[in-house]
Amino acid sequence: MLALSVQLVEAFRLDRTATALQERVTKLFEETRDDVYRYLLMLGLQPARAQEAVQEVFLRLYQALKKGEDIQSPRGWIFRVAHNHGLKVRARQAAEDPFDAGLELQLASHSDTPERELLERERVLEFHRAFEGLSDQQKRCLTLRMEGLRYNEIGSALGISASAVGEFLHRAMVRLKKGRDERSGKEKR
Amino acid sequence: MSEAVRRKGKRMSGFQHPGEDLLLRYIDGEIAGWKRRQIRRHLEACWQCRGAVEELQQTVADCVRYRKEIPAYLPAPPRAWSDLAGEFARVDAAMAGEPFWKRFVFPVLKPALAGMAVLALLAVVIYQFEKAPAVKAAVLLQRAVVAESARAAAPHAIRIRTRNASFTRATASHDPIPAEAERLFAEAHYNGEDPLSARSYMEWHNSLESQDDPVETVPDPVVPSESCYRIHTVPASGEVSGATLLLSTADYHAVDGMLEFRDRNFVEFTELMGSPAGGGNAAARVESPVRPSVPSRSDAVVPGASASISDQLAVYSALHQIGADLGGSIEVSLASGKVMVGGVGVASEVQQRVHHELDSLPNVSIQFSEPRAIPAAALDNAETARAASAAPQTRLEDRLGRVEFQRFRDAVLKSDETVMDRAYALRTLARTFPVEVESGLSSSDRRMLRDMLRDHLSHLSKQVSEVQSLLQPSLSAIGATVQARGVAEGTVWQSSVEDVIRASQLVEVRLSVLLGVTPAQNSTSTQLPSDVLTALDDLRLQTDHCTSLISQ
Repeated sequence: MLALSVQLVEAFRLDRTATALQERVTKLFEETRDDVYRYLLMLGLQPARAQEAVQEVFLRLYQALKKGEDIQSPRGWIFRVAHNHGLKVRARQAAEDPFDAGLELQLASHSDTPERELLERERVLEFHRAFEGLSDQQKRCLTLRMEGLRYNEIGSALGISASAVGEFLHRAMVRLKKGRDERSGKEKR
Repeated sequence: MSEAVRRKGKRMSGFQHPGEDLLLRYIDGEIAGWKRRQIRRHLEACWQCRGAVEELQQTVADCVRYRKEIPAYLPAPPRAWSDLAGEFARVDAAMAGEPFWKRFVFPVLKPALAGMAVLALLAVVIYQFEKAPAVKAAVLLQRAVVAESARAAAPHAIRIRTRNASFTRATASHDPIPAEAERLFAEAHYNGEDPLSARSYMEWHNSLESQDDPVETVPDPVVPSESCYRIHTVPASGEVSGATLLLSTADYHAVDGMLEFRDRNFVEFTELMGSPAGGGNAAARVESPVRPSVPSRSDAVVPGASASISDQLAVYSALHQIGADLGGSIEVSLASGKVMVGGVGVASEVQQRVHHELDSLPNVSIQFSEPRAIPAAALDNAETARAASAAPQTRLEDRLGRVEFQRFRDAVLKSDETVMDRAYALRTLARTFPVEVESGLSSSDRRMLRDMLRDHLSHLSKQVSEVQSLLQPSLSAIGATVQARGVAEGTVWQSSVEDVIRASQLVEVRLSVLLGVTPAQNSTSTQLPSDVLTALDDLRLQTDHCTSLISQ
């Protein structure tokens, strides 16, 4: 009888722990899924596959936490796993149906909007072109930095050192700044 | 402040401007402690650097705006986000679905297995201790600090040596030291007031994010019958590439130390035997014998040494930073104990940038020369060749129209030129650092080399895609197709780079014939568009293969 009680108490404790864990992952999912989805699209995944991959990433997070993995920065962990999983999905997808977000086309279209909005879109389009001119590694570092990851987390996601991340980010910023200077030069002329 | 000065960070008007990279790390909160305070103080005083920070912040703001705006142009998720709750149950079930024996037997055996694991671990530890006194650097430093505190603080003289200066001072002195040494200690976040002490080394050691620091026992450099612990620390990041401290095994007192920097600078601090403290006068000359320095690696830069392959790599890296390793106009070689840098007809602003980057490096000699005038007849011949080669381009020109074709040709040739620049830069590295040379490089040098290679390959891959996307629509429209071919499977990156070069040269030759830049050697005009696409595809595959080898 005593043994049964101990088992029941233990089961109750485990259940409560599991529920807390699920709530934690669900909250993270709701907060972060759009960012991860966008990152995976930028990585070149088809929208449907990106959405599936997002879900997969959060289930892996749940699994890892349940196994007792000590995850200091869940956001960093999520993007690292999303990056690695995304690359695998993209490799499978490449042969079947490569995806191009076609951002430039989308940004360049719509000419019937008010002038201010048009100018804003033009600015985003110019920045997008400058962004596309970066090396892949610079783009990845910058995108992950925009998502709020620290240098060591970005390095961990991309398999490079934190100092290399700093270098890539610096080069990216120099090129983007150069692009902005050129744009403002044009506007002044 | 010029752009180049701001990017690299140079001493101006008697104080040090942090480089733009450092400022970026600063605003990103990636610099901590003493250095962060130093930059903050500098920014308070320096309008120029504040301006540089503001410009960086504007670019950051552009990025933030871009991130905010871009979702509006991206496709929304095709389905509503599903509830994870059901999926959690699936994961739980899968995790619970481990083999029956595992669930039943493992809890019973778990304590026993854990006990066995502990015993095995103990056995390994005991074996290690018996085999060699593998002392951990952190433990050793801790002991040395305790011993240092217990000793009477009798000041003695040490000699501090940098690339350009050598001076003596008393230990733990507050006297000023030459600016170069002060700057180096500051860059390293190392206590320059008392460099030759276990405490200073330990404080620096503990501030590192991660490091590798093997300890070995070596003979005392001055009294070979005695021995020293030699701690060599290789930080994973930061300005310092390696640091060494020698501690006497008898009483743990520090006898010699050295900090080596990624830009090849160094600062060495050595105990002067039997010398009084000398009053801490930085200019004083002390004749006492000096312990010989113990370089951390065989090819470390020491004053007076001739140039090494490591110096040559540093030159390539510096040229890479300013993009001067592209275009093949600058040649780098090792000769007469120096890294010789030169080129013919290099643009004057490029020459200036090269001087700016390399003048401070040791054992480097720079010499540029002007090209000889090309005889007019040679130019005439080139024009004739161009005219004679017009045939294969006709179909494209007919299709696109003359003006559009010229625009198309210029765009393709420009992209191809950048492809060749990258390919030749890769070849230079492959031939300068063959397998046997690369294997002799230190881990930080090897990392620097691989980073450069990855950067070149990433650009190359992008540029090949660019040429492909320019050509594919027009050539497909006139019936061109890609012929499937195998890829040469080099097993080391050096041989794979040669394959990349062969493939890119083939692309260049075929493209220039297709676009009427050079005459066709034989009649291949019908097959040529397909040959061009095939050669480009080969180049892409070779590049991918080489990239995968670099990443191994």
